[in-house]
Amino acid sequence: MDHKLQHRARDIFLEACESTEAEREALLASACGNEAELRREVEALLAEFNNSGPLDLPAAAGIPISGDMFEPGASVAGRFEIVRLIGRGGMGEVYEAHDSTLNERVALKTISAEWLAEAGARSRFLREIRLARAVSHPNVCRIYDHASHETADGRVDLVSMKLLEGETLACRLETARLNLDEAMAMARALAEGLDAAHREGVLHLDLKPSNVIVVEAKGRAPTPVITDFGIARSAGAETATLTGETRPIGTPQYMAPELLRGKSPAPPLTCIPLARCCTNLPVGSARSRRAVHRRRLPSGSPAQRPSFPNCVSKPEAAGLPLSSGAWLSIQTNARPALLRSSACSTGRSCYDAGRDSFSAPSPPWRPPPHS
Amino acid sequence: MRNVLIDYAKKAKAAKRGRDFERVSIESKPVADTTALDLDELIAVANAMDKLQDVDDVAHRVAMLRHYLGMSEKEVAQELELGERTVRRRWQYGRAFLHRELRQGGGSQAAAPG
Repeated sequence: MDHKLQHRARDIFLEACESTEAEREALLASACGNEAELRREVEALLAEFNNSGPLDLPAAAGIPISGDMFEPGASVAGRFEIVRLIGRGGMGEVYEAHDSTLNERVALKTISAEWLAEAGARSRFLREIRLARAVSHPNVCRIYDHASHETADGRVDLVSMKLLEGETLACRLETARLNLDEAMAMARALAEGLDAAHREGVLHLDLKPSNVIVVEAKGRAPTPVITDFGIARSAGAETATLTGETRPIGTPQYMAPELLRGKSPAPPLTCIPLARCCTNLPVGSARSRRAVHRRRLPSGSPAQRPSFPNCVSKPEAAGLPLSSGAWLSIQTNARPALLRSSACSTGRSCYDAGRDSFSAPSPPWRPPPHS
Repeated sequence: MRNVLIDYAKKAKAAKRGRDFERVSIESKPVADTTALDLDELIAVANAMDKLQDVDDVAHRVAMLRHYLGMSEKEVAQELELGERTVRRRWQYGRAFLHRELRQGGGSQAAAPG
């Protein structure tokens, strides 16, 4: 059957789907006439319209998942007892564990061997962990220690850190929507956390909502805590990235365009992910997900790479009661501040610009519509 | 995602055909009790998808996102920047086309060489 006939069959099928049973016969008779092949095709499609089949089942429901590295109860590196697997990330797995040395529950992150396979990568990693340990701030997840564990497959590097009770900001944005006041407060807190890290010479090269845990405590406002300084590097260090490659590291949607074009990381540029997180905050993450799909890391030489617009999303599409001018004001006011000042003042710029521009009352806190 | 699934299905089928049948790795674990689609269906759907792409590229993209990524019609509409009605209609067609192909054995026949 040629494509032209199949397209006609499709159009008749779709029209028939919207017809009643009584109308359908007349429609087929008039649309197909005496073209038996066309009619057979339409009827075959219509027969499937109400039938269930493989397409109604999820494709990937039961694909076996490879085993976790550690089972609950396992003793690791001579001091940690695994309690449970918390999650998996790009660099490895995260477990809840009991640290017998500190006598405290901790989060224990495994670092996949491939991250440290490059020559010199492990020493850079250890140096970065030492730097990150010095960062102490309520909005930064405290790193406790590094350890290594021998398994049958070789050595596994581990980082222990404060165990946080909460969900990621990405999860939060899936199920709830922040109003502007909440979003601005969160932006300021994240900026202060980043600023504290920058004062210790530590950059976070992959700041994004899934690397922020929103910690809930009774009687207190939710506190965002930045995690995963695993790919952070010391500001001004000579080496390009943790993996030893010269390609930019991070999540394209949140990265500064300058980094995508191959410029070396520096505190002002690593603040841009903060601004992008902030501008996505009231929006929820649906747009973010779509943007991730489109905004793949560009290939080619730095000169060939396209520049990315700085404006993340349009307010009307995001459902914000904010004029386009006001939104643009946040974007344009924030960016110069990003480039010349610390993360903290960036957060304040976002906050102040948002407050000044926001004239309508905040929308009620409500879950996003589900289809 | 699609390629991962198809590679997985082909590997698992190859492992099942092997002589050393008792030494079944985790990858070749029988899927019937753990997954919604069996290995033959995974491969047949993939081949039917290729045929749909020849006929209607938009319906193919909608079907890929619906089936392999489990997106809702609304999410597909946002992803592809199409109207929700368009997505619903293309999914109606794509789903019927794919089921018709599978029922007529088109997907399985094409799958046989793989």
